Amino acid sequence: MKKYCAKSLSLFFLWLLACSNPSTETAIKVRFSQDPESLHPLSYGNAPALQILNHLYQSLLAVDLDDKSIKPQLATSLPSIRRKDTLSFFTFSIRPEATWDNGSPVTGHDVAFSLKLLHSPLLDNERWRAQYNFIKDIQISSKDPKSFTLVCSGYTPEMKLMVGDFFVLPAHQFDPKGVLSSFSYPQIRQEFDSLAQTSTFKAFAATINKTALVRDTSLVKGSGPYSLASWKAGQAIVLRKKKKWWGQEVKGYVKSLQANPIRLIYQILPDNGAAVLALKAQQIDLMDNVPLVSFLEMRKDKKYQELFHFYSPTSYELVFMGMNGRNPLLEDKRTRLALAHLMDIPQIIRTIQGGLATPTIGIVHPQEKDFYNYDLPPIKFDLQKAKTLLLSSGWKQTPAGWQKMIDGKPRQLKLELLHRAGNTDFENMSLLFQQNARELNIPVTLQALESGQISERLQSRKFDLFFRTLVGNPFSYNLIPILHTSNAGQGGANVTNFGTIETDMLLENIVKEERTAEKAQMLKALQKKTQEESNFVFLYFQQNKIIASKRIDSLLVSGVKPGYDITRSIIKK
Amino acid sequence: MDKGTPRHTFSLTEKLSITWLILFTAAALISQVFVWQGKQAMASPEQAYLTPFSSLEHPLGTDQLGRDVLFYLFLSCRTAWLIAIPPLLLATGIGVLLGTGAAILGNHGLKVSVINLLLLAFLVLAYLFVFPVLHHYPPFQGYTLLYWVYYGSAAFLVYVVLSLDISARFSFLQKKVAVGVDEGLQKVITIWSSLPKLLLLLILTAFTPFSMLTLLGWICATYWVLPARIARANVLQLKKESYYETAEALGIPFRRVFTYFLLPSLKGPILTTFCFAASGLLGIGSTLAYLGIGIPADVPSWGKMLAVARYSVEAWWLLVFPAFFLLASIFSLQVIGHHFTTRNRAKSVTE
Repeated sequence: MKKYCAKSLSLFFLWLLACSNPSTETAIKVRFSQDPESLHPLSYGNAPALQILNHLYQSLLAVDLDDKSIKPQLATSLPSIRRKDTLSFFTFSIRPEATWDNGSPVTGHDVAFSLKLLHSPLLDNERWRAQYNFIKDIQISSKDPKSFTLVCSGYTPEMKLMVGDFFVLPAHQFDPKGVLSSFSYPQIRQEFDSLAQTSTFKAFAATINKTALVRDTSLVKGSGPYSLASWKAGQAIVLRKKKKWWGQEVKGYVKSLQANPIRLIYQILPDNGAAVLALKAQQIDLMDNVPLVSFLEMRKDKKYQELFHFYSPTSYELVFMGMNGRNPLLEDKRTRLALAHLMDIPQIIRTIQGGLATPTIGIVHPQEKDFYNYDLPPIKFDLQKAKTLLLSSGWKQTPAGWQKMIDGKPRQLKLELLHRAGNTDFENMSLLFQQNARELNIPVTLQALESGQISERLQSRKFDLFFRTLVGNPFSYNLIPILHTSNAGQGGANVTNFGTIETDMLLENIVKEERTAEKAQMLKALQKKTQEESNFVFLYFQQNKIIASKRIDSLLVSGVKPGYDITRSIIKK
Repeated sequence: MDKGTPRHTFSLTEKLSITWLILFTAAALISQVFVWQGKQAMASPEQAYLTPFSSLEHPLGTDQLGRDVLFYLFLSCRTAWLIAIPPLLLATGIGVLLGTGAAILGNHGLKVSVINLLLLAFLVLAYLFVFPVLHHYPPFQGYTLLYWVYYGSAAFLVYVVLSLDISARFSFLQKKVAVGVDEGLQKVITIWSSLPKLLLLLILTAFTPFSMLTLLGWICATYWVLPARIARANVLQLKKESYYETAEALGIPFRRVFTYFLLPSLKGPILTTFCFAASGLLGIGSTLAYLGIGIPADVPSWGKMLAVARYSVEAWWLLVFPAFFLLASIFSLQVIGHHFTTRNRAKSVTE
């Protein structure tokens, strides 16, 4: 009896599933692989949260995903920049139309409040304090509260975006008592420790840190086009467009102020398999990072070709194999180069990546036409070449393998390759590398570890080879943390021990340089150096695999995170 | 006693099962030879996802890296066999030893003098202290088996210390203390069996780096519980039998009592649990491989192929063939286990 009940129930559910109609409403449904967990504008912790917050709050400047340029959002135009001695001055004015939900205008005082919040004690803002440490002061014009100047120490090209890349928060809503308005911005920074002791700041921090600001639909709101309608943790987040939003009154077409969809629903589906099924059933309209095999199979299928658009924009996620240059076995760059010749990159891209990856010779994306070194030939898969390199490095071929005297002791070339457990791409690439190395009689053991354990091994420099992904962006070439010799010591981010005095100079100058031609020259020289030294074998830049329903018109797909912009899309009837 | 049940007739399914298990073991042995020769399923990604029965070279098709599915599954037999049989044999041995020991000695059977206990405590401390020194002593460095050899020798020393009779010379330490062997074992068993085995293995494998040897060690450490319980229960029952009491009264040495009076009755239930545990371990081994835990990337396994199959709807052969191998092996072991149970039941006097 029980069995019959179970059977009929499961049949009933199957029938229900089969009958559920594809959605015909006006909402765009997007898949999230993870719950945002917190929508607090200071202490949010993951990419989905940032994606939602970008619909709710606004910044002075925003990146246009289309051409990766910096566009004014709350500001009327890009700031005017003036440099004097060691200081630089960025003058902004906020759009005259810009208002909060209660009708009061967005002014320089809100910007000042937001900056103070980033530096106030007792709040969860360590990362922001470090990041915006360069902003020294804010001067609001006495004539026009919408106009103000940010005083910054020094000048780097990165500041062009950074100076306007924080959320402008409503002071009247976050701080109705005006606690922060009685302190100046420099004062809060200088008296950080003593202010932390005061009862006013303790009380203020308690109101800002309270959990309601993390998820309450009435409190999580800013000047953005959408408001948080509902959030069921682990299930879905619904955003609704505000009925009266100031952005619509701005004359002319402003790219950074578009918000066409009336409703946005973010469905949280952690499992890739389940998400693909939901996509196929048209229960979601858009999914990114689709597993490769599913992507290729759906793209081939006539049925899905009619329903979906398939995009594979290249991303800034660089996959590479790192080598420990401090390890006596790998100290000689010829040995490292020999290992680089064992990697058949075109084959990996063609097969494991299904052709959906962009090969690269270095850390710069081939899309960056000015900076990519096209003159450098890629390192080819070549066993013979690898053999000659090993011989020239002093290794001798013995029946037991390759041997060399290091520090007076005979050592065998035997390597361990670390990769993240559960990452099938890395696992497959490791197997191929191991097989190629075996052809040359180099034993490679594969070790799958949790990413925490890998970081630990890298930090303590107890490793030979590892696979990893490096997430970059097109705006900054500050590579000092991972390539500068000053970070090569224990605990530093330069785990491969890359670098010479020459490359250190290059790295420092690249950060400072503003002229494109000079910067390009230096970046190209750096790419040449990284290839010669071969501490890294750069494999490819990943391509995101996005499938979007044909219901969504004019979807913007980009290599910059999150990879797509739905605010300019229109739903077809 | 023999009720005339046909003792050695096998049904067709049983014959099939035995044949399958023999083939399975043979495949495991042959692939072990291949491993010694350094043979592996060659990856040629250009030939990935070939459909089965389309070429003679790859009768069952190829996987995502272009490896031959048939050869891969063949090599996986070794992994499955290694995970299921040797650690289980060891675990059963340990379990029977502990269970019998606990049943025979009870809570008062083992009396150790204070001096021996003190010696034992000293020994344990010394062992713990010496290990790091030994571990970093250059000739031993990088010798991974050192750990097991070292602590294995400790077990031997414990035996020697416990059987030393030196208390006579120190009259003030002559007092003997009863060691509650049975109670101690019962408590360990209760704790150990309160955790599901898969969960326990998942937790344990998280502590050590991925390698077959550590996985085998952990399986051994989790699977001794059931044989221990069965051995203990059986021996407790047998202890009350008149023939056992007679044997004891006659002063027959325990070694002979065990082999001639206890083991014949223990054999049946132990073999049954062995078969069922082995079939369970095949499943657990594949589950761990499916989850990508415990088994290194270059060790072939049915579970890994199943994990790959989950991403592709079209490549049905990556699901069907490893599933067939896995299910056939599991069912065979279950059938054999069932055979033992029915035979036991038929032989049993108390039906």
